Amino acid sequence: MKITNTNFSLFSKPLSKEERQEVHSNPFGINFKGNVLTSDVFESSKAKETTNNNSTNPFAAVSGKSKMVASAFVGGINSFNEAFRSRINSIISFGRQVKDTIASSWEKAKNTEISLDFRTLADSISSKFNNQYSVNNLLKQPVDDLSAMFKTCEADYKTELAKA
Amino acid sequence: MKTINKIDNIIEALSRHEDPKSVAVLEEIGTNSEIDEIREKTAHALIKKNTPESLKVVVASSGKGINDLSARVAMSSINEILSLNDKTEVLKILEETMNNEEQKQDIKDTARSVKALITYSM
Repeated sequence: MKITNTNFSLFSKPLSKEERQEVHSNPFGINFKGNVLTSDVFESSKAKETTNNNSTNPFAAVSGKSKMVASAFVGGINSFNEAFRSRINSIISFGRQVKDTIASSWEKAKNTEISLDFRTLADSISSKFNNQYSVNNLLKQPVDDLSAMFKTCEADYKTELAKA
Repeated sequence: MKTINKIDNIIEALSRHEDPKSVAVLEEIGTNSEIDEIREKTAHALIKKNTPESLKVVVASSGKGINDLSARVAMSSINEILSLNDKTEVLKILEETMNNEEQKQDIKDTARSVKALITYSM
């Protein structure tokens, strides 16, 4: 049998677990390394005897085992495809969710009226931070007043340093 | 508010005040203060003002600005002069101080050194 004669394709749509179980020729649903074996890996005892006794083919001795490994490999590819597809789907659904959220937020923002009472806001801020010694307030005062304040503060600071 | 912060703000306000009397206030109270910290802050404010009157105080006055007896005040004043963006005015004042016959020799020497520093740093 030639490889070209097989219908198997690596990129064909992977079968689901249920489908695989229905399709595979293994009547006992044997698992090998976590994969359901999709091809018939059994061979007749007669063939085995022949192989053991007088076979000239060096690969014949390991053919049973290779069949099993190859079958598990194919099953592995299918599982990988399935896992990959499910991850892609979850990414797509996450993207859709994000898009929907942004769209709904935009709609909400469009329908929300924003109004600010700047006068009240300014009053409340200035009442909290209204400080005689802020630079902006000091700049509004005449230099003579600043001079008097400077003298007072300097004397206070000198006293503080002396106490410390 | 802490007293030192109040002083900071008063000095800052005086340095930004447009009234020319502000220089006199800074000189009278700030540069004559017994406290090094206040003299240092005042020298910075006068340099930031960058006017001929304010620069004369820190460059050509004995015991003030770059001629202060405290090394910390003098060095930080020099540093402030070096960090000025426009040094035209300060170079003019330094030149005048160096060439002033009536000026003390140590003040002239300091002015020469600072001018050399500015030239090297430009």
